[in-house]
Amino acid sequence: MKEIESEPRSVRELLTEMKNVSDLMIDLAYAAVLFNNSELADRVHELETKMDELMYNIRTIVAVVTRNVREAKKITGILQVASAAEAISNATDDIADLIREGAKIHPIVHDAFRIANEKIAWVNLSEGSTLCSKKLCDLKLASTIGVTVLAIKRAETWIISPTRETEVCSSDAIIVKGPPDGITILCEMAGAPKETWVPERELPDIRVTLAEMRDLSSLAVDMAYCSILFESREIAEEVEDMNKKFKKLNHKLWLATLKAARRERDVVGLYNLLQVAKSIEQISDAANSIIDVVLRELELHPVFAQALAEADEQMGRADVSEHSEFVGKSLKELNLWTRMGAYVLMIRRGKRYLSNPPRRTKVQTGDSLIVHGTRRGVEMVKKAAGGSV
Amino acid sequence: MMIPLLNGTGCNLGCILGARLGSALHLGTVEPRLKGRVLRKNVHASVLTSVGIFSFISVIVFMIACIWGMGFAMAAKHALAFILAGMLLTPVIVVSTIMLAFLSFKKGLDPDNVVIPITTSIIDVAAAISLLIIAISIVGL
Repeated sequence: MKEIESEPRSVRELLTEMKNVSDLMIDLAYAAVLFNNSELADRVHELETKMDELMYNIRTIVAVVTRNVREAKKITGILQVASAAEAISNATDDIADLIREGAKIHPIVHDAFRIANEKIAWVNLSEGSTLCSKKLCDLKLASTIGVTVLAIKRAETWIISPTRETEVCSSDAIIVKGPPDGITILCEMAGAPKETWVPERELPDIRVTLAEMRDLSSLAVDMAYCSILFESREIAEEVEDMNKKFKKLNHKLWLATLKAARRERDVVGLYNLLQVAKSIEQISDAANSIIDVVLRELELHPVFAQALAEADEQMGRADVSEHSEFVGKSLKELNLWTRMGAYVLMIRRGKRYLSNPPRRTKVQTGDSLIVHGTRRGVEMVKKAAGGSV
Repeated sequence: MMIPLLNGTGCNLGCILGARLGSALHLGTVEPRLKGRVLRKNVHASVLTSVGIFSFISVIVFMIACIWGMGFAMAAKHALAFILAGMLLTPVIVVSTIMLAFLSFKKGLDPDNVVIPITTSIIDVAAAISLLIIAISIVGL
């Protein structure tokens, strides 16, 4: 094993980066599957190597700083969350490996990823589109249409996780994620032809279940981080429920796949589908090990809150006041994701938590919206919920 | 008689602050910049401890001086000299420890290994000097 140089970095910085990298890896791995692109899969693999280094660094530092038993107990929590982020990265690397090896993945997986709530799209910029030669921070894609740029392909090189200063050139291809209507708007802006895609009629069970599993696993991870940020057992218990639901879906998927295998000619494709499902299950398990920290510890280490406060993807709680424009409107009407770049993970109403609320849910005075999105998006939602827009 | 006392106590204070800052820097609760709540709290704590400990020791100095038969006025002067020297030393302890901790962390060295030996040597010298300054100029011993 090569000697890993330890830069002067703190546990907080390392934890923030691990979360950022693992979030990005999930998206990139799905994108690699969706576009069957081995270059993207290579990038995922590079990130996985980076993740191993981060994990090694965080372990070393933690071993140095622990000074007493009480501190040590809190710090094991940090290591557990870091390991969970690493487990996510391993799972995504497994998905990417399938693509790297050129494994044939059943087309139903592509369909399933397409009907998932969060869309990933490959947009080719055409000459003279309004997006060209602008910096990402000027485009404000996240806060106007809810779309985040994951990667840019420029000629033969890839820019992974572009910064705010990165400029978009014509003839670039950008990989983005966001809400469906946001992506549609982006395609128009880019001058790219609208994606036309008709789902295959076969195996609807598998398609729907896999899509649901993908959404549920992402949601579980986001909510698990939320439970740490707010030190909330209730949220952690919600995640537990989601994991139970996930297990059921997983069971259903395996059965459906086995049944389909009797008639299907593409058995290898189905096998690879199950490989993908297994990786998604690992992601969901990682969420479980994150909430384990919240459920076990009486007091969380203050580094958690600081690390999460600096991550790329932010979470926040927005209390809805009576003057807010939100009151009495449904989530569908508000469409916060596309308008502000933050979506509602949960609504806290009185003592109840509504996780993954349906779009027809109406916001009431006194609700607490737990939102997830870009820093700016979360700020905007908080302001609007407070009634000061 | 007072120099080893002042040295010992001063170094201990420096070591405690150094060790705490080292952990905090590694964890990231303190950033190597001169601001932040955790840093302020640590500085407050060290200053308070130093005030407390130096006052306590000066009382003991006073009592021992009395027992030795120095006379009340002389004993009080010794105690005063000790407490003033301690107060003069405290900012030196705090500033030197923080600077050393930040510098070593930025250079990629482990503050635990660097700060404590250097800070103790600095404080040893500073303690002797501050006691001398106080003894000569203010109390006129």
